Parts: sequence; structure tokens; C-alpha cells
Amino acid sequence: MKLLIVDDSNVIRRAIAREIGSSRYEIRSAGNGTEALAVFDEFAPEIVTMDITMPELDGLSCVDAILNRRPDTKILVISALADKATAVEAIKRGAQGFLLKPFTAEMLHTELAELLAE
Amino acid sequence: MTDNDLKMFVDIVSNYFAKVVDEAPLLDEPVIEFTPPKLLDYSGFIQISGSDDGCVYITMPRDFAVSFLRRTGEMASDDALLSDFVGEMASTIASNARERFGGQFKISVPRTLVGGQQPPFSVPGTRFVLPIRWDGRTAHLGIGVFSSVEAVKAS
Repeated sequence: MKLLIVDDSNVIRRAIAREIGSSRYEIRSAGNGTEALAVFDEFAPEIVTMDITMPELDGLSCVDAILNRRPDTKILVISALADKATAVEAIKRGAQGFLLKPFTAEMLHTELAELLAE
Repeated sequence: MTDNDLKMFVDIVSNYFAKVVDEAPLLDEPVIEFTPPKLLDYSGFIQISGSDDGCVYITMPRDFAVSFLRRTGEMASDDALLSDFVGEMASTIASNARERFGGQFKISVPRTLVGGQQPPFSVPGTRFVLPIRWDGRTAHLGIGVFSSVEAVKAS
């Protein structure tokens, strides 16, 4: 299964990749929304983890662009923005899950499992 | 900045450490700082705008950053990664504060500094500084946030 990690923090990209491991997923990553769309077009992942606050193209705009390209893509938004409106907006745009930073490894695994079960 | 606002930042920092390294830090009482910020090896700044003005920053010595990342399983410790880490930590702490301040509490992307140099952008002259003791080392969280109304009055 192909998974794309989108986050402007290299530390977070590496942490997510390390945690979910490469045995189950083929993983690629991108550091901003513009790069994410380029990788998405070439890599065609089934799952995307998406940060919101990023330079160039923000995560919510990137969710729109990805779902316009392939509506069945499963998107887990991972953000530190703790107001409820942000989570509601992400889901309204079509993301299937929302995980608040900081998170534990267990929380990440649970969210991904729920995403795949849908 | 009220006592409850400060307590919220204390709670956010405690939660950050609990979630990421599964260990609570020792948080000293916040102090008010009027001098330019005392920056350590790696610093991450978040500019605040919208309903409030100012900045939130975290600054730490190299061994704090390296030790923290090791605890998460990250073995690399180059300058770029350590800078990215402090920027991400500052961003997460500031962004978590939206739960209290609301969606108009606008968060910038992080700006990071290495080597204790002073920031090439303005920092509020008065800030609360929260010492964070963990693993035998100390980092500092700086909070210079004022409501936009207060900021206009002060200028």
C-alpha cells in the first residue's frame, strides 16, 4: 500500500515514517503542498497524511486538490491547530480523519487503522 | 496574558512531553523578562497575528535537542534537523494554544535561529519565560503575546 506523508517538518516526516514502518507501506514524503501534488501525481498513493500549516500551499487547499484528482484517496489530517473549527473544516473538505499534534505512536496507528477500515 | 493563559501554556508543554517522550518535564515558575531574549543553541520562533500580536518561541541547548530526539528514536543530529525540531516544537505549542485563543489566533510558519544570535525581526520587549527542565538540561519557552487591542495601546 502506498502512503504519502506531507509535512513541512522533516522531523515529523521521519518520525511518522519510522513509526509506521516500510514493511506494510511504500512511503514517500513531501515538505509542502506544491511538492505534495507533484509527488501525488507521480506516486499515486492510496493514503495521505497531511499537515495544515505549510508554506506555499497549505494543507486544506492540498486536500481539495488531491480529492479533485482522485476522490477515493484516504486522507488523515495531522495538525497542531487545536480549535474545533479546523478539524471540522478538514472533515468537511473530505479528509477522513484528524489527528492532533502532539500524538503518540499508538494514536497514529489507531487513526491509520480506522482510516483503512472505512 | 492572564494567569489562566500562562497555565494553559504550562499544560501544553507538559502534554507535549508526555505524548512525545512519555516523561513530564519539571516546569519552574514563569519569570517576566524585559531584556532581549537569552537565546541558546537552537531557537524556534512563531509570530502571532490576528486577534493577538507577538511571538512564542522555544530555545534550548544542543544536548537538550539531541537527547529529546534520541528518545523518539531519531539518531540524526545535524544542525538542519535540530533547527527543524525546535521550529516544529514551537509551532505545535503555539498552535495548540488556539484551543483557548480561538481561530483568529494566527500562527506563522516557524523561523529558526542557530547559535544564540538575536532574531532579525521584532520580539515583544516584555515576555514571560517558562524554564523547562528535563533530562538534566534546561530549555526556555518565551511567550510574548498580547491582544491586538493591548498591542495598539502599547505602541
